[in-house]
Formats: sequence, structure tokens, C-alpha cells
Amino acid sequence: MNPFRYVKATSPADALARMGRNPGARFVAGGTTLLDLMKLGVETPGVLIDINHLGLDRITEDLHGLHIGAHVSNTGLAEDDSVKKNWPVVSQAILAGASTQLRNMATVGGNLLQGNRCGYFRDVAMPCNRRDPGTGCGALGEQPGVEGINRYCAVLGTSPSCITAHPSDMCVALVAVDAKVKISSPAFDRLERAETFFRLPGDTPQIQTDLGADEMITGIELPKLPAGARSMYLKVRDRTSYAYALTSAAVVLTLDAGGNIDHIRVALGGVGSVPWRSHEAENVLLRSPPTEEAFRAAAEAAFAGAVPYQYNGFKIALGQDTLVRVLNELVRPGAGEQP
Amino acid sequence: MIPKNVIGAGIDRVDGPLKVTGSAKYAGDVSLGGMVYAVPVTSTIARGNIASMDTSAAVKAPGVRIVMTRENAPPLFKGGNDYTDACQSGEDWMPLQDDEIYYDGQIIGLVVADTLERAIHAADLVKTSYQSCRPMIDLTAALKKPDVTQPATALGQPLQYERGDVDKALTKSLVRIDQTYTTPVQHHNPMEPHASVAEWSADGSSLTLHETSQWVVNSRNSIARMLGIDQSKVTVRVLSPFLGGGFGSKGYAWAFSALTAAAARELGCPVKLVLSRRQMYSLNGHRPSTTQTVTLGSDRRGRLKATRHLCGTYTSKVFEYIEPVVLSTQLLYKCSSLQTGFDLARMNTGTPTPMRGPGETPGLFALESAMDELAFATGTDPIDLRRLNYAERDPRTNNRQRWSSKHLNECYDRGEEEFGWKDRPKKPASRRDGRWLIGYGMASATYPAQNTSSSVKVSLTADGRAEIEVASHDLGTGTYTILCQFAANELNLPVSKVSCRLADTFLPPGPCAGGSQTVASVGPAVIAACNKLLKFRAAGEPGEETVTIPGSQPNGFSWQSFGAQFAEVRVDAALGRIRVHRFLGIYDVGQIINEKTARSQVHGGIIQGIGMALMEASAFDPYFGRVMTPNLADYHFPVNADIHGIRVSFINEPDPHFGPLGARGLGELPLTGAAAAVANAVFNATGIRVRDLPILPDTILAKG
Repeated sequence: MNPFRYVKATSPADALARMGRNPGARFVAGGTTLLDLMKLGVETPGVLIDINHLGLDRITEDLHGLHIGAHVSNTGLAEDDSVKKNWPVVSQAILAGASTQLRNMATVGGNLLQGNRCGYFRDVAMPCNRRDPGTGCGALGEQPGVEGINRYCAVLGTSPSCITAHPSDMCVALVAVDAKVKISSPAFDRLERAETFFRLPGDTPQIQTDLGADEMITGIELPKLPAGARSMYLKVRDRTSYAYALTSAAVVLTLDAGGNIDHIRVALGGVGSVPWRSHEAENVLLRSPPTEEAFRAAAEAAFAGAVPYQYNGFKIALGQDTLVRVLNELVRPGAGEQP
Repeated sequence: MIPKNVIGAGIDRVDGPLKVTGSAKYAGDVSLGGMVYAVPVTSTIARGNIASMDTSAAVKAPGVRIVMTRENAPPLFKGGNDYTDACQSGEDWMPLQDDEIYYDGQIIGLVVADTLERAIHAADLVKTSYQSCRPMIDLTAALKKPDVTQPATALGQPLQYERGDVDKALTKSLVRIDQTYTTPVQHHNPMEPHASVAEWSADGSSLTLHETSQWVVNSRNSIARMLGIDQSKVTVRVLSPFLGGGFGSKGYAWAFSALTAAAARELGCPVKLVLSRRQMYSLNGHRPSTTQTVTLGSDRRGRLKATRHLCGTYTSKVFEYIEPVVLSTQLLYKCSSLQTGFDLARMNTGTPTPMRGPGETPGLFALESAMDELAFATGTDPIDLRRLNYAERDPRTNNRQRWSSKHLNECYDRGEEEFGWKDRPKKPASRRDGRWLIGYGMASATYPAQNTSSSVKVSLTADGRAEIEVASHDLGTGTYTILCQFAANELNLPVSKVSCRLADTFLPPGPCAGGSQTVASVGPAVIAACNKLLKFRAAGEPGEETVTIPGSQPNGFSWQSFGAQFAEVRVDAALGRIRVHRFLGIYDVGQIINEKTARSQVHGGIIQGIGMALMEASAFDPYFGRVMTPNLADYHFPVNADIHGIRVSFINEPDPHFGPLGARGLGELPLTGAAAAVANAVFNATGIRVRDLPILPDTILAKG
């Protein structure tokens, strides 16, 4: 752990100005990832800018949807009455993540920037291109046939430089509800779709999101879902709470008068380098009747490009079955599922 | 209030208020004037040599008092490998004395600074380069190396053992089971991290250590020897009044304690060291992984004709720890032809050490899974199969020696009834509730009973208050409460009038809080001392008595505890999800002293068993040999949401031939066999037999 300076920002503009003056500084909100990574020596900021008191902790609703301040806690968002009623998939996803204590501390903005959970990333003694570009990918391993501990890693969107899976549950649901990320910089404010906010590792795994060094997340927007939308998040994990997803699926769909699917969003967790929107699965399902065959075909399409590694090949079949289960639950509820 | 039947009653913990208000001081809570903070520097490779260590930045960092490496460390000595004489260290080797790296996370330096934060920072500034080699980290490969040995005994019992003629008996067996089972590395993960606070007197004539110790007498002797202290010249005092669990990891003495004391001696001020959670995956032991082959031969109904249990496991490069896996197989069932064998490999890991139910816990997973396979192969009900092979007398003595008491049949009967076993799905994968397949499984549990010598002092005041003093321990399991109950009962006092001081080597010596022996060892001494005080009590006078009671001497009976455990699991086979819906354990441990603390301790064992079955495993990088799960987020054991419907029942029949209390230990027993009960239930639910723990979602998917 390195010595660092701690300052408290008084407004979003003040926070951005302080960031501008202190290259390499980090914003701290809930701190549930950042402080952990600082203790491990993975993050070594010289300055911590506390952004907990900027008034970004409110949820407001208008005709278009929900506006959520970046510093609303994960618990606050998950337990919001409107979210539970109108965006249940978001509430379910948040409650499937971490533990009660962590959700009470963690913020919505922070969750968007959650550091990945790969053991190699978190251990400064081990190779990791995401932490130290050029050192190699420990999860991929040093020798063919002797891969690292990569059971938790991704099968979609990986690159030879990084195969870690994105750890967030909430972000998977945000992609499925077409959420937008509100971003401020000293120059201007912008809105970015959650789906495109996250970056694939490619040759630059150290760059995880679209957020610029001079920018700050100030909130997210949840647009109203189409009338009659059904949504659900399902997560498969090694224990019933406080475990990262092996696989998860967030689905939003509506059926038209003829019983065919006329709105569909499919997002997958635990399997992708980023919260994984599957246009492939959506293309199979859109305007299709909600049959087991269509679900199975969609799941196969979702994983058509999957690349398994030594210990995570099971994620392809499990990811497909997880998606099929959610789709079935949404159109034929009550088959005994306990999300 | 005068106690009535205080023995056996579910009395609240006397130390409960101290603990829930945070006023119980654990070793890591101790804060002394002028105290400074030590942080170990640990290796980041698992095998090789230190090429160089650059401490220049660390030495200059703010607040740093000393940076100890092999260059400047004082000489330290092996801590002893003598359990019987209470001089048992976890490793037969000391750090900072040479350049060699034997395992990942090995101590290669110690940084001491005026605050913990500064010490952590300076420790990060020490830059070490290595000549590294590929570590031996794979048990299968290690078991093929020439350094594998076949140790003859463990705990005084033969590991390489045979009675009858197993090969001949197998050829005559109509039904044979021959399977290999594996269990992974597990870490103890007590909630309380290991800690040591060392303070020397100004003249160096005495050393006080606040330790996380399950055995303060041993900590004193071992740490003194590591430091090269002559105890006739220097007084060493070790205190460990409260423990936040240990599960065996705080039984043997570890090098970090001696380093703390050595630093305090160098600096002339008190030093505190608390291991980080990561360090607890290298520096205080673990349960080694095992690979076990069990061969059973039986007649058509399942009556055992032959049993063979061969185990391969490992120790570290710096200590010969033997996980006594096969011992319980020699005694659990009646079988005239039986063989056990044991191979011990060497690997580049931290040193394994006893962990709750050492030997029995991995061993019974294999044996009780194999018994379930035999039940399925013969079509015999799993409980009936065990009744059919019931050992009325100790099979190790040619069925001659009697058990001191054994009510295992009653455990089976009661479990069968209370669990509703007759309602179990007779065929695997035949019952479901929606998407969840339902299965029942059971297994036996067993653990030896033992006790050993303990001294105790009891003082009585004129106004009728008693105080017990003994260097015994409360791991969080209830020793404080139970000893108070004994004294209250003997002296006819309310429990509230009795107090207890534990785990201080200035008190009369007590035994290791290991091997489930505390109550059976210390309880009789408390009772004996109280009996001597009865005359003072009658006269209303103050008095004190110190007594020493030896451990039970061989009396022609075999001492063993037993149990039967039952699990109902629900499996969502398509997604590999497994839930233990309910679990029932029936235990025969003799007289129960406190129903409440006993039940609580057993709950913990069952939960640990569910964790062993479904999630616990430490992962090492296969190339670097580095621990990759060194925290409680990545090393999984059950959370509250995983646990449902645990029920516990005790036979509660005093053992007439084991110690004056008739109480055998129960700390380790519930973990033995528990994982097999869950795995057997998974088979009943799904038809999938899992022989490699833990049973993860992908395990079910791969076999489904």
C-alpha cells in the first residue's frame, strides 16, 4: 500500500477540476473496489478525491424513465419501489451481487467501474496485461496445456492479452434495459449507452471503459421499458450469496397480440469480457414465437463465437442453459424457479 | 438459585456478553505502550533461491525501525517436533536463516515500523529477485517422485496395516467396488487472524507473548526453543484468553511468533504482528489434498469380506506432517480382511497441519462414499448395509476388545426415524419438485476419544464465589462455560458465582485444545479440585486447591465416538445448482455437558461439512505454485443463505469406561462423514456419483 493524499470534492465541477490538477488521482465513492485494490497494491493513486458529497444520491422519475444519481447505493437502487416495479431485472441483478454490507456501501457509478476479480489481476506478483501491460496473461498461462486458474474467466470477447470476465451483475441488467450512462467532463456532458460504455480487451486490456481521464460518471438513466415488458435476471454461482457469477442472463421481452416476441434484449454475465449483449440471440428471437426450439437456437447463437479455456469450457453449455431457463421463466412462469 | 442438574443443561455462554460487546480482548487487540508493528515480507515464488534483496528504500521509509532479512536476522532455531512433551512447531525449519525458497508466501523478511500502515508500505518497498525453479505442486505427479515415503505410523497407529488376506478375500467376493476419490486442499480460515504481541522486560529476564494459541504450553516451549531461550533463565509467559476459532491452525507453534519476539528483543520495545488473510494461506497450515483408492468386496447382500484403503497425500519440504487418512477405516466396520496403505509425497506448499478431524475427514469421504456405492450395487438400503457390517467390538483387535460404549446402532435407528429415511427415493433421479431433483444420503461419522493430563486450580472465597484457573483454551466453543458448570455442580453454587481464567502459562498447565479432548481432560481436574474444597464450602471458609489428573490409562476398552448423518439435497441438474435442504446429525459422544454449546459446535461442523462437499478448495497456480484464492471472497465456504434445516440430536448416554465424566469429545466428529452424506444424497438425487470434491455446478454438468 502506498501513501496517498485524501481530498473531498464539494461539487461535480470541483471534483473534475481537482482531477485535472492531479493526474493519476482516483475518485472514491463507496470504495468497495478501489480501497481493496489499493491494499493489494494494484491501484496506487497519489490522491484520492472523495466524491460522496456532491448531491448525486437521488433517484427521480419523469415521463421518459428513471434518473439515478451516480452515488445512489446499490441497495438504494435495488430497493427503490419504482425499480422493483418497472425494472425488476435491475433490482434482481443488484441483489444477486456481493453481500448486503457491500451493496450498502457500493454506488451505482462505482459498479460501472468495478475492477475485475481475476486472481492474476489482483496479485501484483503475477503476470497480468490488464494491470501491467506487457507482462502476459496469468489466467491464460505460461505454457500451452498449463493454463492458469481460469475457471471464472470469460468465453466471449476475450483476446490473447486478457481473458478475464466482467464481474458485475448490475451492469448486465443495465445493458438489457438500454440504460445510459451520464458522463461529465470540464468541457461538456454526454450520455453513453451502457452497452458501448464497456470496452473489449483487444490489445489494450488496461482500458476497460469509454470513460476519459478527465471525465466522471454523474448518473445513469433507465428509459421506460415497452408496455407489457417482462424481465428477469438469473445467476448461477458456486454458493447462494457472495459469489461471482459463473453464468448469468438478463432478459427483457414483450409479446405481441399474436404471441410472438416483439421486443427482446438479451445480456449475459460471467461469460463475457464485458457485460455481454447478445444481438445474435436477439436476432433469432425477435418476431419468433416463444418456443423451446427458438430459445435453444437463440442460446446457441449467443455462444456461437465462444472460445473455451482449460477450466471454463462448461460456461458455454451452462450459459446457454441459463439463458434458456430465463426465457422459459418469462413466458411460462411458475416452473419452480427461485431467482 | 441453587443449580439442579447443571450438567447437560443448555446454559448460555458465560463469556457471551464480553464477546458481543467487544470487550473480550483477543491477541490482536492487545495494545501496549511504545508498541511497534511488524509485517512479514513473503516470497512470491514457490521454489528456488533468493538472488538478492534490496531493502534500501524500505529502511529509509518513514517510521521504519528495522528491516530483518537473512542478512541481519538473529540466529533462530528449529522449534521442536515433540508433541508428547509439548514442544511441537509447525515446521522443522526456521525462516531468515538461508536463501532457499520452499513454498509460496514463505517469510523472507520482517519489517517493523511505528504504525501498521507504515510497516505495510515499507514491506512493499523491499524488492527481491529470485532464481526460481518450477515448483512441485501437483499431487499426482508428486506421488510418482522418488522422494515419496511410506510412513509406518501416525498418532501411534499403523498406517501400513493388514489383517487377514485381502487379495484372497476379494477373489471370493461376489460384489466389488474399486474407486478413487480425491479431496482438495482446504484452509482453516478461522475468523480471527493469527497474531502475536511480544514484550520483553527491560532486563531481558522475561518475555510475555499474547498469542493466538490453541496450546499455550506448547507455544511457550516451542517459541522459547526457536529463540534459543533457556527457560530456566528467562521466564516466558504466553496468554491466549480468547480465540476466534482455530480449527487446528493455532495448535502448533509457527515461526512468525518467534520473529515477533526476536524483533521485540532487538528493538527493546513491544512488537505486534497480525497475519494478513493472504498470509494465512501460507504460514499456518492447511489440510492437504488426498487421492484415495477404496476397494470393497462383499457378499450378495453387502456383508464386507475385504476392504482396502490406499491414500496418497503430501507434506511440505520443511516438515513431515502426516494426515492420518486411513486410520478410521481400520475400525469403522467389521471386516476380517482389511488393508491400508499410505504414501507421502513432498510438495512446494506451505506446511499442512491438523485441521478439524484430521485424517477422518478426508478418509471418511472416501470410505463412506464407497459404502454408498456398495449399497447401490447390492440393492441394500445404505443404513441396513452399515447395520449388516456393524462392529460390535473393535475390529483392530480381532473383534475381541469392547468399546467403552457404542450406540451407533441407536444413531442409525433414531436418524432413520427422525429423518423419515423410509420415504427416501429408492431409485436415483426418481423424485423431483419442479426443476429440482430430490435425493437423500447418509454416512457414518467417527472420531477417537482421548484425554490427557491436566492440572487445575480452584479457589473459593468465604462468601461463596469460586474461580477456576487453568492453561486450557476456549476456541469459541464453550470451555469457559463448561468448566464453570462443573464447579457450580460440585460446589453447589449458581453458575453466576463461578468465574474462570484460561490460557495463561502462569496458570496450572492444561492440554492442547485439539483432538476433541479439552472437556474430558480438564473437566475431571476441575471436579477433583472442587471435591477437595467441599470442606471449606461446608464451613463457609475460603480455600484453594490445585490438582493434577492424569489422562485415562488403557483399560481394556477402545474409546471412540460415533454418529450418523443424513442429508436431503435438491439439485437443479440443468444449471448444476445444489442446495442442502436439510441435514440431521445424531451423535454418540457420551454425556453431553452443555446442550447449547454442544449443539452450536456441531452446527459448525455440519456447516463445514456442507462446505467441504460443495465449495471449499484452495487453488494453486499450476505453473508458479502461488495460492490464487487467498481471501474469503475467492475461497468459498457456506454463507447463511446456503444453510437450511440443520437438526442435531445426541444419544447422551454417559460412557462408563472413558474418564470420570463419561463424556467423549465432540468437536471434530460432526465434520467426519458429513461431506459423504451430501455427496451420497447428490447421487440419490441425480444418479451422478461425484468422487472428487468439491461438487461444483460444473461437476454436475460434466457428468449429467
